[in-house]
Amino acid sequence: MQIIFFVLIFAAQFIGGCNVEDKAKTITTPGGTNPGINPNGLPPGQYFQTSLEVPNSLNDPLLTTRAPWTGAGAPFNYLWSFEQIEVQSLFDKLSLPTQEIIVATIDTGIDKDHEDLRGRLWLNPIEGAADRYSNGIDDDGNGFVDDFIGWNFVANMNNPADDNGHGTHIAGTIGAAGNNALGIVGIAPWVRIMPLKVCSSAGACASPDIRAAINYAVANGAKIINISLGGPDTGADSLAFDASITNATNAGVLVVVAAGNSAMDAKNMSPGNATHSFVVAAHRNDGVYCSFSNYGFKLDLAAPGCANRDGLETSGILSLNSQKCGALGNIPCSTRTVNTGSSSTAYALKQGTSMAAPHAAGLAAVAWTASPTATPLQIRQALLRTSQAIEVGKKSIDYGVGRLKATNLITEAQTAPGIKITSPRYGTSDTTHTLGFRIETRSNDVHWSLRYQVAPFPDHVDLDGGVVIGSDGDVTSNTSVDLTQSWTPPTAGEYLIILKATANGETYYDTNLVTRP
Amino acid sequence: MLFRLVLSILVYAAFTVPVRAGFRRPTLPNDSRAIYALEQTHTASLALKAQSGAQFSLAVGFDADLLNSRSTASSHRQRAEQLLDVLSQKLVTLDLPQTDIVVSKVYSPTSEVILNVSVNDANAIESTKAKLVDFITKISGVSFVDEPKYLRID
Repeated sequence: MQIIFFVLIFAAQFIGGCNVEDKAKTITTPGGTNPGINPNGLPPGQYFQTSLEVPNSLNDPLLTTRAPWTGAGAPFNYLWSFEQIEVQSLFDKLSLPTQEIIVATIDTGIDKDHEDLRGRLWLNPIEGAADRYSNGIDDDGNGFVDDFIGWNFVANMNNPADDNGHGTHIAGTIGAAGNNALGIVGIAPWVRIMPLKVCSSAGACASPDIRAAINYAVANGAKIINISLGGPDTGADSLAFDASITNATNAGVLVVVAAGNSAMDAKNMSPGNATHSFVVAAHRNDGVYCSFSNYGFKLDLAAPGCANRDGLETSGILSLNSQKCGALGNIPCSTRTVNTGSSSTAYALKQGTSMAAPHAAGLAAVAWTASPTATPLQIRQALLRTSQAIEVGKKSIDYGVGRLKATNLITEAQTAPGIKITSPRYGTSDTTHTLGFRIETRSNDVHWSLRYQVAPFPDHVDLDGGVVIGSDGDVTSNTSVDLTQSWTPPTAGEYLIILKATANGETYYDTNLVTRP
Repeated sequence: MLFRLVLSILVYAAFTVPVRAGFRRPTLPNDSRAIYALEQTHTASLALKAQSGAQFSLAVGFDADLLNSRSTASSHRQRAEQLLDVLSQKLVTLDLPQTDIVVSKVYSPTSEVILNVSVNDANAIESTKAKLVDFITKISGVSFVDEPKYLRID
């Protein structure tokens, strides 16, 4: 019997060995395809991670390089979006958090060799060990073999290389290295990027892969997930996203989603229309919303996503360029030889709500740096509260509560309560609605109330106006509560539900939209 | 005999011993599937439409498949008209002697701004083309690279 057992074990190992060999054909290890990846033969733990710091000053050349464009808002520098958010003024007030902040980019992958990203990637603490990153074994038991820097869900392999360019651009906006005398600087240049490739080189992204990537990010310690992609609401698929993004939020992760470029109501785009998605529209350097940007009251806020160049609305967000991207020929930047053998510049301009979302994701990382124990709902409110309102106290159909801004972010990150209408789903149609909402207080008590406004809505809805729903209430400090209130809209129509909370003299809002048939 | 026994066990094991979990990507039960797209827009594209002798045509196109807007078709036209205006005003600032440029626009199948260029000096064709491409790329956002021939603005 023992002999048979031994043979079975041997057989199992043999079979496992076959799989190792098969898998190894698709694994790109450090130093595998590009000698430059690991020039000193260092294990990835030493090579792929550089030490992080919150820079006190910045010497990144493209930050101060003047763009040669005219038009409204000109003159301005190439990295105008970084300047407009005014995040740099916070850097000297922040210190590196004890626990690194990991931002997952669910996208086309990453150019991990980019000069402005080197050493900035997340490293799986188990799979990233020198003797484990290429051993063909799922050392951490998470279902992914040798996933030492992320995962490629398209090819089901451990190399999330960017064959499109989009994901590298996103990653750069969030966390490109700062004060390294190279290129640009990200909004939060001290984060770790976890690249999760779900989109093909052509930019097609399968929704099950996106959800699997969300689950991966949550399970492996990401604090923020950036999703700069989307598609029309297909019913069941959107419900699945609602569940996975709610799970992520409950696990302490903020999910930032691009509003979409279809110039239609964002409520029809998934996964942006998920209950807990933090939805980001796009605006230009002159503050006007980008014409392609989706609109509607599902928007949370707007961030830089395109530019007015010489009177034309076009690409204007500068970030990192992967080897497959088009060149940006008219600014000084480093040139390098890439795997294809052709030369390419390392930085590129792009436009879209894709480019807007990572600005918000980066600023969320800044907020979490200021308040590491904050919840996703508290960080969400901090970002909303510090945004630059188009009209004070109103929510805009084109900008959400306003344009992304870092002013007072540190204070708000440390004090803003988390408030969120959690049910029903945005746009739900029913005769009677059970309004669910969550309040997470900080050191101050919160007084809350619910009101509604009925359609047709103006472009800027007064968040202090409307009709009171039921009774208001108080939540004591340092408490988290889930509350519900049943409500029957008076007549058929569309209603904007407004949750208003006051804490220590400050006011916070959340909105939802429901319909009575 | 022993060899056949081991072989039998191996064959049996191959069908019964589960493959290690590490080689299976977790799948989500009852999952629906849709294909989503990146939320990046492409504003225009630059092409060398034709070249014959001392004449060539450049086109900046606004492709309906590449660009979404609140009113897609009219927006493409509007953008083409804007670019036409900008080019008309600024082309005169270029130092291009013995060169005739006719700028026009078409709306079908895509909205395009077309520059039909005639160069009287045969030796100046390539330099004129390079100057124009560089100029247009700066105005409209495309960049000059050797390949591919049909460019897309990112």
